[in-house]
Order: sequence, then C-alpha cells, then structure tokens
Amino acid sequence: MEKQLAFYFDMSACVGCKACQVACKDKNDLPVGLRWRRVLEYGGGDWIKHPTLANLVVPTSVFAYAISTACMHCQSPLCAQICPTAAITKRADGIVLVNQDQCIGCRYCEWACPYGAPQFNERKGVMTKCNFCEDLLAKGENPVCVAACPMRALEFGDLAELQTKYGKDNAFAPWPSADLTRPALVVTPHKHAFPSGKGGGMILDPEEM
Amino acid sequence: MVKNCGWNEIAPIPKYNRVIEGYEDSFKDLKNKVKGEFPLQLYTIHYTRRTHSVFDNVTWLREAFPQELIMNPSDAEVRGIKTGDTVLVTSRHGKVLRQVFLTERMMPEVVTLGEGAWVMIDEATGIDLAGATNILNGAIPTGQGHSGWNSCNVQITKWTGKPLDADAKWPPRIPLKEA
Repeated sequence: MEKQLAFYFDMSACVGCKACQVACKDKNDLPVGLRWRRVLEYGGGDWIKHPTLANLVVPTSVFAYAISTACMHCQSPLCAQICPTAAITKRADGIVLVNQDQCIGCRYCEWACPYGAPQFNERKGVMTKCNFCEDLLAKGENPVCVAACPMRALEFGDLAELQTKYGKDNAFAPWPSADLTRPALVVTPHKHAFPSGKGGGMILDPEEM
Repeated sequence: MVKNCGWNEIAPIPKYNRVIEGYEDSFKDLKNKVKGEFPLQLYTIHYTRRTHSVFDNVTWLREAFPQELIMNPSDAEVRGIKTGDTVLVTSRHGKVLRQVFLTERMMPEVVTLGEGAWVMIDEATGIDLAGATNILNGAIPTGQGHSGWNSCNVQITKWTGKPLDADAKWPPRIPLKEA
C-alpha cells in the first residue's frame, strides 16, 4: 500500500472540550448514541491524610488526561477481517469504509474493534463509522474534527510523514496495544500518560464510552 | 453606604474573610471539627455544555456533557455511591437530583455542579431534576468579596427512587413552543 492516511493526536494539548465530537456529529448528522469521534477522560491518583495536621488531606500523584478517539483506519483492521459480508473494505489511501448496502447489521465488527469505532445505527439497521470525511478530503478540505479543534491537537496526513514529524508513539491507556490492529495513529503523549495495558487509572466517564 | 444596605465590606489589605455557607458553616462544632447536617462544600462552575444557561437544550451538547455532580471517590465511598449513580443533593435551600462523576481531581469534602441548567421541578416531590444550582444556593446578598449565589453547604445521599435518565434522552425543550 503506497499511502496510509492517519490521524495525529496531541494528547498533551487536548483539553477535553469535545469540539471534535460535536463537529463530527454535526457534519454527519448523527443521532444521540452514535459518536464516531468521542472524547473520554482517563485519570486516577489519590489523596492521603497529612501525617501531622488533622483534617488536612494532600494530593499524591493525582492526574487526568483526555483522549479523543475515532476510527484508527488500522493497517490490519479487525473489523474488515471479521465482516461476514465483506462490507468493510480498506481503500488504497488507507481509509476503512463500511458499504452500507452490503452491511447486514450483524454487529460483529462492533465486537471486534478494540477502539469501539464501528457503531450501530438502529434506525438504519446498519453499521456506521468514521469515514475520514472522505467527501471533504476530495475537495481538499480538512476532516471536521481536525478543523474544529481549538487546541489544534488533531492533524491528519500520511502515516509515514506524521511519524517522521512526531515519532511513532500510538499506544497509551486506555487504548489497547497497537499490536492488535496496527492503528494509523500518531500520538504526542500527555506528561502523565501511561502505556497501553499499564494504566494506573481508570476511564472516569464509562457511561460515555 | 454599602454597610447601610446591609451588605458586607472587604478589608483594604488581603486577609481572610469568613463567607456565608463557607467552610466554617459545614461544621456543627468547628472547634472540635464535628461536621454538621451539610458537611460538603458545593461551588458552581461555568459548565462546558453551555454559556451560563444558553444552549442547555442542545441535545448533542447534553450528550457530550451530562451535567454531572463531580465529587471525590473517598466522599462517595462512605456514602455507598458509585460512578453513574443518581444522587440527591440537599442544601439549606433546596434539593436536586443528578448523576455522579467521581474523580480524584476533586478535593475531598468539596463537590461541584455546573451553573445554568434549565430548572425541571418534579411537582410531586419538589425536587429539581435538572441539577440547577440556583435551587441549591440561597438568595444571599453579600456586597463585596464573595457571591452568595455561587457556593453553599450540601449533603449528598444515594437516591433510592427511580434513577435519572441521561439528559440527552429527555424530550427536547424549545422555549418558543413552551411559551
């Protein structure tokens, strides 16, 4: 494959404002429950009683960071491998797309994807997911999440070029290990970010997953 | 003149001002540090869902920001509360229901709730379901230094009735139609 489109996410800059999530919902007119791009908060730490002063507590290692997750347009997409009708395909430019005419709504890809990217549209009865704003790319514009980010924490481009520019980091808690699907993602970690699988915290808003 | 109106003044030099319904008022017996009926300090934040009360009815924003009560896990643990539970917030002035969000970023014994939610009183119980902080805060004119409508003492208990639906699932409110 000569090209692989990828997202770059600057975790150290993300403030968790969810502008990317709402812009995505606006552009794709998604109902409540479907969020092709979503922002979660990961955090932990502890407060301990002060050794000498009663009633005083002091924070130890309290941390939190936000992650913005969309389809990673993986280099080995599990969703495409598991799809029984071959409705999910990977284009020559690396974008993973669902052909909704071919999708039977079995939701296998929803189980397979470790990032929760394919999401079931109950009204249409088919799977939907981030399409990298392919219509905007064709017009030479940015994907809306990238365009909406007020912290400029999101970028997109060719994976190899992004890796040259920002390094190869792409696996931080609570995301899974990159070995699973080889996501097309480059991340600048937050200063408190844990590597995948070694998280010292928890997703603070699990109902929003 | 400010004093004649019954309002407070602040000192010309920086010094500690005791505020109405502040830290000291959360105790029954301050000297021996015995907490009273409303042991937690609630302060209000500019919530990310909206600008004060503007845009509170936008469903996508309601989904993104659920108007959660934010508290420290240690305070929740002693009350048997877990993330996502519906809790009853009681102050000297009113009661609201909200889902709870636990994070260590919140200092123990302090809780916060975003200001500006659109009041939705349950007529049967008199409890506000939307989590409007104006229901919790008293009408306390203060003059200078601190604002009586921004903070209060509260108690939080696990709600044993029907849990609240997520705000995004409520029927959308459109003011012109309501008028």
